[in-house]
Amino acid sequence: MGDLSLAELQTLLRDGSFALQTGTLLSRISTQFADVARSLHVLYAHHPYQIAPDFADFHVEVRQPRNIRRWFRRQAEFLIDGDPPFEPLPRNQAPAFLEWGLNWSIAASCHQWFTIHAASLERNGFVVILPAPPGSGKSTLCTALALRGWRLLSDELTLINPQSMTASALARPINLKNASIDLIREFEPASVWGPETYDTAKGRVTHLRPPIDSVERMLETAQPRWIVFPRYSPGSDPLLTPRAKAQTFIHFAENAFNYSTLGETGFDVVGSLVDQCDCYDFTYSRLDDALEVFDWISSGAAP
Amino acid sequence: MIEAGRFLVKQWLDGSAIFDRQLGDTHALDPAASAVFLALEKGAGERSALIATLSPFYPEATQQDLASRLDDLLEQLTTLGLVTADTN
Repeated sequence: MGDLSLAELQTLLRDGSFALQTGTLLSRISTQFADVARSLHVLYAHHPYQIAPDFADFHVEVRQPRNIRRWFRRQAEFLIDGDPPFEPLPRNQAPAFLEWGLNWSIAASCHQWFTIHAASLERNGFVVILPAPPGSGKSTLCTALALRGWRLLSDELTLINPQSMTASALARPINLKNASIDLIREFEPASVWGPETYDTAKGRVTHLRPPIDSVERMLETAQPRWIVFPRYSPGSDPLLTPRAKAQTFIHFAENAFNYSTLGETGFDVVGSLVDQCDCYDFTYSRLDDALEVFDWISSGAAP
Repeated sequence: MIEAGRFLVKQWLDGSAIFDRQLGDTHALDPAASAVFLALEKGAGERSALIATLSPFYPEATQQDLASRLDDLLEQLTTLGLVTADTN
């Protein structure tokens, strides 16, 4: 999108002809909102795009809802194929709403992949998967790794091809919230950010532009090699411990978006993933320590 | 008894995951329950053989303890629908 001015992007978004490529997916996006256009222009500056393609995986829109409420409180709604899967959100959350809506669209419909709620990054041809509940420091750690030499595949949705057992990339912006935003701003002052949104259900949120190398290589798949469950614990020294495989299996089965949908295939994919990956729990409090541990993991030296 | 071909099993040192092809359910079993399930799947029907399967997991247990644990495990496996009583 580097060749596209903000004004040109706004025009394309207004007439619904803009289509953004993230990984192998093409999303046709429509909006009248200037702040959504600005956010896309900043966050996806390195991504390829198409104008009025014959086919797109998703047709989405962020707009003002057509209900009576719009007259006394401004709102935004997200639509896919003309239908709103969610209730509207306050108008100032529109840029983030588009990101969350795109996440949902992929998780709800891309069953060509086994899709797990987890971050994934690649180094030297191998992928580390970071599954974790909210508040575990997953996105913060994922961001630090992506800013220090690991290739970002995704911060929210890990996509596994059931046939090849490889992970595919989306290379979309990283969603950070609350104290993590300030931590990463300090960690990498040159990082580029979308607009901050306050008072969301998650608190203060924003998105970080993915590193250009991750975007340029977003069509490269890679083999999962490690599964690491991070846990941020203030004041703790870094601690990496092997994790039970059966326990890891159950976590994946419970936290995948389409485990039940894929049935036997889902069982086979999780079983193969757990077989082919070393599984760890990782407690940390300082990003520099964590980076050192992940360097160690990727060097093949971890137990 | 266990219906042939109904279940898929992934086994690790710390337990196993069982997929029920008929119902689409997934179950996690600890190593002892997993060993009993696999023994039944291979056709072990004798109570003494199942107790022998359990004994490595409880080295301090008496035969009576093992028999009691086996009953508990069989009840759990039956409740999960992994095992049905042999009525023959």
